[in-house]
Amino acid sequence: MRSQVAQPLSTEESQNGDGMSSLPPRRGFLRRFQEELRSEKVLSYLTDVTNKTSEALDLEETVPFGAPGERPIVYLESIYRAQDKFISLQKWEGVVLKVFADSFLARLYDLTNRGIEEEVELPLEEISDGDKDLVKEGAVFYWNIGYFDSKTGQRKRESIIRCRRLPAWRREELEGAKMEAQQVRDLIGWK
Amino acid sequence: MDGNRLTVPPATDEVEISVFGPGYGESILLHIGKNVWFVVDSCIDPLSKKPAPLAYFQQIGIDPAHCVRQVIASHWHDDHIRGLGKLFRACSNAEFVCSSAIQSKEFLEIVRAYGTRAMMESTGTDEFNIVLDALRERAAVSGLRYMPPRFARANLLLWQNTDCTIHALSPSDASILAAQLDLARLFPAEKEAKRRLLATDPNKTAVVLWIRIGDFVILLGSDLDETTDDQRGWSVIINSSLRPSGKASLFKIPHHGSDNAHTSGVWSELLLENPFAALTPYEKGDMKLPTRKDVERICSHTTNAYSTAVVGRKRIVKRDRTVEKTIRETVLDIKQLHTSIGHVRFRANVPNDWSVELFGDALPLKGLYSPSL
Repeated sequence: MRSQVAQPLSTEESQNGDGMSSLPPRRGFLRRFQEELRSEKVLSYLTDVTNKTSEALDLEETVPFGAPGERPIVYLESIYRAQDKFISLQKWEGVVLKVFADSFLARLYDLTNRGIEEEVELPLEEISDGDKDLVKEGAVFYWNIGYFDSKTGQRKRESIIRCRRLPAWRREELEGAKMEAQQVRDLIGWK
Repeated sequence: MDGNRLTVPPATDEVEISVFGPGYGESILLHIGKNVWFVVDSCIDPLSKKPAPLAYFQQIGIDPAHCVRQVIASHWHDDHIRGLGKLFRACSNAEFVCSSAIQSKEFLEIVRAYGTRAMMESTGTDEFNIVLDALRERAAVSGLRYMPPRFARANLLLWQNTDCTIHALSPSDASILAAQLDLARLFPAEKEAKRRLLATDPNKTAVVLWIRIGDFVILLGSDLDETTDDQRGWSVIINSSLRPSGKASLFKIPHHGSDNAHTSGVWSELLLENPFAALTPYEKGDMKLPTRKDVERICSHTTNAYSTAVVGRKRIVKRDRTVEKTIRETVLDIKQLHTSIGHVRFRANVPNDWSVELFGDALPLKGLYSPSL
């Protein structure tokens, strides 16, 4: 008996001269199962409302499941799952200008309609605890307003402010800047 | 900008000072006659999105590449240098002048570090990087004709021809030294988190200009503040025995008319009685300049004061209703910036006095808080 582990099917193996399947029933089942999954946008074979997958399983099942070493391995293709998603209506990039006890002043650059600049005072309570330490003069943040659609089908209006985390200055960068400055200085006579 | 006469260029023998201000920003154009122009600082015209001087040059049919002799950056502050890089590129035969306070190598190191490595835009350093790149290109192609940058300091002659002299009255030596120490502290340290660079307090090193054209003297006060230190600020100018003699008939009021830039000695020692004057307002958060008291003080010194824009006008951007509702629920305050610009234009022919024209949002200063006046 050939190995029970499913192998990719080659063209020679899968068809005979008249194009009809000459494979053992177990192989035919696998191929048809794969094709069914491709042709139908199956969310999950366990919740397949058309029952096509389960029908195929019933009709083609010839392999005694549970027999030691003979359990077929079925590779399911990538399965779509409903996910939470955020639909953005308005985005800004902001720069913190001044931090007060309970709020901060910032300049906003509109990323949805470029060219519009605004000044805003935002309460610090709008910032998540993890980002609060980042709210300092010169810090950059992103403000996003939109709809949050949950995977269960609920829609909520949301305002999300996230501080941009930038890497720290590296010695090479600082030395590079100094070297460049020296070159520019010599070339343009900034002295 | 509007007004039928706006697009009429000055006559060749006519002196012009044009002051532009959108409520946050300032730029000044000077025509000394014979189509010779100077630009001091830069701000953006919100309508054309161009540097205000370039938008105006286009309106009056002047080619900045041929007519502008110097582009002067009075100090390194966001509201005075927006569009400076583009402006300097357009004025391709102009000399670049800036404060001696930023002559140090530390300033170039900061500009280079933040300009190319900070992973974000930073208006101040970005504008200077464009200027540096333009200078580098000019140095590469101009050879002996290349004009290196010039650094202004107290009592330095910046320009001279038979009709005109331009002197810098500041910054003083003490201000330059203090500024250079501050700059050295701004260079980022290794392992320090990157963030946008905000210039600290360059007002004390701003370049004040004293311009004599024939019988006319003009004093451009930039943002120079007064200090308690008699080696810095306005007092050192008033007390200087080296400054050019005479009194000015036209005054660009320093630092948006604020009290910390006021010294009565300026009005008594440097200006003629009841001079023509202009200021550009400034709004940032709760700070609005000039205040009512500032307006009263200035108007007690002259009846000929003008502002390029109104203060306290709040504009809100119109958006999707859902977005507007969320903004209302989230913010404590929000307002749109740079929505319009005003232009105060002074022109004069010898021996006539200054004539004043107001365009856009510009208005007499006495009406700033009482528009009905």
